[in-house]
Amino acid sequence: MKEMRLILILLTVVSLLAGCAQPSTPSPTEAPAEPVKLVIWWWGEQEAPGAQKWLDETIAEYQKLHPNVTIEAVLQSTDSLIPAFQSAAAAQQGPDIQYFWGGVWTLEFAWSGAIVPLDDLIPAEERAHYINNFERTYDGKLWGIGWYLSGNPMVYNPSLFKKAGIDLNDLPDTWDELIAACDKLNAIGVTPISGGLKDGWFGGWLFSILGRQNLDSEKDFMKASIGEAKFTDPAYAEWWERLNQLKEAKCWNADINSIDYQQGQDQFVQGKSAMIFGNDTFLKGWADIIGWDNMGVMRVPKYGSGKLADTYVVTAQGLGITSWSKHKKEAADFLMFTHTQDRLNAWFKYTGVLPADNRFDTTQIDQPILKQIFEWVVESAGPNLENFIPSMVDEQANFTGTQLLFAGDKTPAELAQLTEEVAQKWREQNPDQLQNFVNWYSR
Amino acid sequence: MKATDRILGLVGSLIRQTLVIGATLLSLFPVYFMIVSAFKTRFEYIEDKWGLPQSLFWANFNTALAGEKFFIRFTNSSVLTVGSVLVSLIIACLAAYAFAKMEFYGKRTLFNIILSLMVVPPVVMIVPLFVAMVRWKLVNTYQGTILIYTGLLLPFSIYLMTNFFRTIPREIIEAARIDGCSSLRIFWNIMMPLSAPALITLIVVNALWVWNELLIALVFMQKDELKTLMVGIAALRSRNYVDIPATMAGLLIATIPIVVVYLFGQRYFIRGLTGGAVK
Amino acid sequence: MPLSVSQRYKLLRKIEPYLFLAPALVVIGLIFAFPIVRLVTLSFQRPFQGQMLFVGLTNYQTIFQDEVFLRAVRNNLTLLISVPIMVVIALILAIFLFDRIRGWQLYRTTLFLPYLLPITVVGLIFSYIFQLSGVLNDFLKVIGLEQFVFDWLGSTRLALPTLMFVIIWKEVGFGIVLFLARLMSVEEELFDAAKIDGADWWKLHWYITIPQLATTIEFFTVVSIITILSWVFGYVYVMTGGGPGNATMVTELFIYLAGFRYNQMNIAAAVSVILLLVTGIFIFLELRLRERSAALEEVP
Repeated sequence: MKEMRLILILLTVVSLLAGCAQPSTPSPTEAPAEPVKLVIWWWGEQEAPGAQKWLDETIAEYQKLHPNVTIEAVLQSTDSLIPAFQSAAAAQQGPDIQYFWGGVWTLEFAWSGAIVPLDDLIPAEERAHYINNFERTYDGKLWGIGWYLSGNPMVYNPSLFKKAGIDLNDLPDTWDELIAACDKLNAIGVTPISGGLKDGWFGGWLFSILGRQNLDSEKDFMKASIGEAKFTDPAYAEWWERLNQLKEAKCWNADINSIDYQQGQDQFVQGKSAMIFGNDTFLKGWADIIGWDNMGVMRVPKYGSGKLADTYVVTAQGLGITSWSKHKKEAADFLMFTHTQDRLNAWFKYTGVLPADNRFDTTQIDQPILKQIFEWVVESAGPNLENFIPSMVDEQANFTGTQLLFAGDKTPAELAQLTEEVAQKWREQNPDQLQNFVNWYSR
Repeated sequence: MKATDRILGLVGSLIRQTLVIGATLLSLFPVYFMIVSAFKTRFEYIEDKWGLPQSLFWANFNTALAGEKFFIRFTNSSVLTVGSVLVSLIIACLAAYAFAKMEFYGKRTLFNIILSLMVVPPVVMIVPLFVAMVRWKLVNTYQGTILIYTGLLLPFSIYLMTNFFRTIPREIIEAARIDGCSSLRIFWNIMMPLSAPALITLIVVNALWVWNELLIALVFMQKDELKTLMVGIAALRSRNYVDIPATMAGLLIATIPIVVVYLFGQRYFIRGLTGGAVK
Repeated sequence: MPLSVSQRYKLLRKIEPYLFLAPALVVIGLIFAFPIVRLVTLSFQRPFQGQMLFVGLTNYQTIFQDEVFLRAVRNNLTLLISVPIMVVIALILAIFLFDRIRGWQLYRTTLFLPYLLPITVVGLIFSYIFQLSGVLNDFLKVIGLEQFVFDWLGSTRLALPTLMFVIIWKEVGFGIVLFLARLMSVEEELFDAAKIDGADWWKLHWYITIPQLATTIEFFTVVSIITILSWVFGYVYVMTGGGPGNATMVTELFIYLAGFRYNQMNIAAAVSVILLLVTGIFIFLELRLRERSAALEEVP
């Protein structure tokens, strides 16, 4: 009996091994010409709750219209979005459509040959409707399309403001007023601003939101990245000092270094903090929890006088088509379908987030807060600077640097120095990427 | 003299008990924390982090299960664990038998090379392995991932089983050989049954490792319907509203199978460690 | 010419070991040999304008000038401190349990529990425990030890020790069970004889227990060192992501980031080769040690 069992096990193992050794197992990607399967790796439910529901519905409708097409959407987690796609690119196998943040987050993959330009796949007249194409343009070509807009207002809690004696008709709009507001909020025992730096991402946001105020355009930051300006120049370095002022004035939650980005934002939703450097994609999700009446949006207070200081930071999160996809045409067709009127309106209905398309029916926007956001986007949209510096500089200088600042280990001057050193290191280590960056800068 | 001895003994055992109880509490607290938090509402968790829940709030489990396609993930983890543990066990035992009981050219060098592979961190191998796996069309397949896990488990398994086989007296094998048994028969009918405790140890250790592995599962099982439980859990962190009690409920569900396997295999496990694995 | 029976037997004995080894060698070749060869090649190359150029040792020079890499190496070395700590704790607790204190079997099960839990699970639980507003600090405040309230994972000074604590917490159970199992296989007479000779508790354990455990201690030490050098990715990835400010950066995470985040496969390959060399040297020394002690044992 025992022997029998052992033999059975052995047989199973041998057959398994045979399966492993033969490389000729049929591959699922080699689909015949007729039925088409598209795979999408995406992200976004994390910042625009409701996105999943919209995507499921959009896929269902598209499949109804095109019975030969099946679409599989895989939601990636924040930490695996880029690594998974990097490995797919290394293997030249993976999704047909991939989600990308703007700027370098898209173009780094254009440079490495993982995605294709869309100019031949999507008609120019259609492309003209997409918003923020400049973030994805390189060498005169468009390397992805915007999906939805993600902007960074400051979000505040009106009742906490009132309690602390901050005039809702005269919200803080300079640095001194912001610090004064912190004092008032601290006096009533409320955390003025909350954030979470542990997983790093928020450090990049702070750079993007604060670091721009002395400069005029994203080109200034590309210039510093390629070494034609220095991150230690006062205009670039001042934000570290300003952030430090907020820290010294006890504007921030004490546990900022030991919680993740999301937990930092949650403190606001829980009513523990009065302000956050927020993201407008979350607004509807928060309103579902605490109600629109318990939120207000304001512009980020100013310390600098560069042109960017008056802009509202906004970027289009988007999608691209991979170079190994066997169904680029079909993929492009699906992308265009996501930009049809009905889909644009449904997107806004589910998420409360603006789609990256000027054909969207703006009369749908009925919430005053969202109207305000829309107005800022139309009147004063400015670039998200995280998209215009190498991601290594973002992570090793901004992510790391903000943690070091709040840990009290480095002075603002040292952190500006650190940024410059990381940029220098990036240039030395990646001559190839540098060359692309230079081309991009001098487009 | 006697009295002081007894007092010393009493003090001694008091110290020992205190230290051991302290260590036990320390090793249990995080588990306790996980369990009680899994049954609290979010509000309760914020108010009182370590107390017992006022009532059992089961909704967390619904949130955790529904959100992460639990059953598919669970099946995937199980398939990978069972597959790679079994395959690696057979292959490792065959090799270990050769190392322990046979003489051949290059034995020591080969054994040392295999031993040194124990220290190769998986992260180092990911990029080249990924390229290779794509070439062999094994990405996003159970076979491919099982092959990788098997490879990674082999060095330690061979090492452990070789050590164990060495403790089996040569006379038994010689006797069997005189009776006309072939090496394969000796292997199956004598070595394997005699090594049951060591085999169980190996199964438990390897199964734990595969079940808990994150990195390879993350990279090589990318399709949604192929993701493992650990990958699902790691993603709990980046949800759009951090719900700690629901996260804890998810962690709890993922932990239970391991604890059950261990409690069942504990007796053999300890016997296996005793029998030569540690010599 | 047909072979005689004894000749055939001899031939069989000669090739038989290789047949037993074959499946293992094939799998190891696929999973280790091929990738390692590729890693070495990659580490001498760098991409330029779509081409892979041979650049000699440039990648190696680069990483040794990289502050973050050097930090990672230093952190790995610092983490090695936890090895002797684990050995000592495991030894003490195993001896206590071996003294058959009341409830030792139950203690054995519970002390081993942490080793069973997935690193992902442990990492998440502990990051909630060690938050500034987490359970630990809440507890310290309640019992009036407010001066010990720290930002355990958020301070650059404490993050690495905290991480080390979690590693020890999880890995030490394996040592306890290992040592205890070995002790229980030692002949009782050895201890009885010593007791009759009037050895007290200290002498008994110092002269009998510890020498009996020598090889097991060595084994556990080796396993722990390997863990620290090349298997801590999971802890760092889940608990700190390498922060704050690279305070918990380790070589594995550095490789992961270079390879998968910064698109620097070649830098990642160079670091991988170095990590392989270092661990290789270490295991080589260990093997020499082992061979020498084995040679000593074989003397009748």
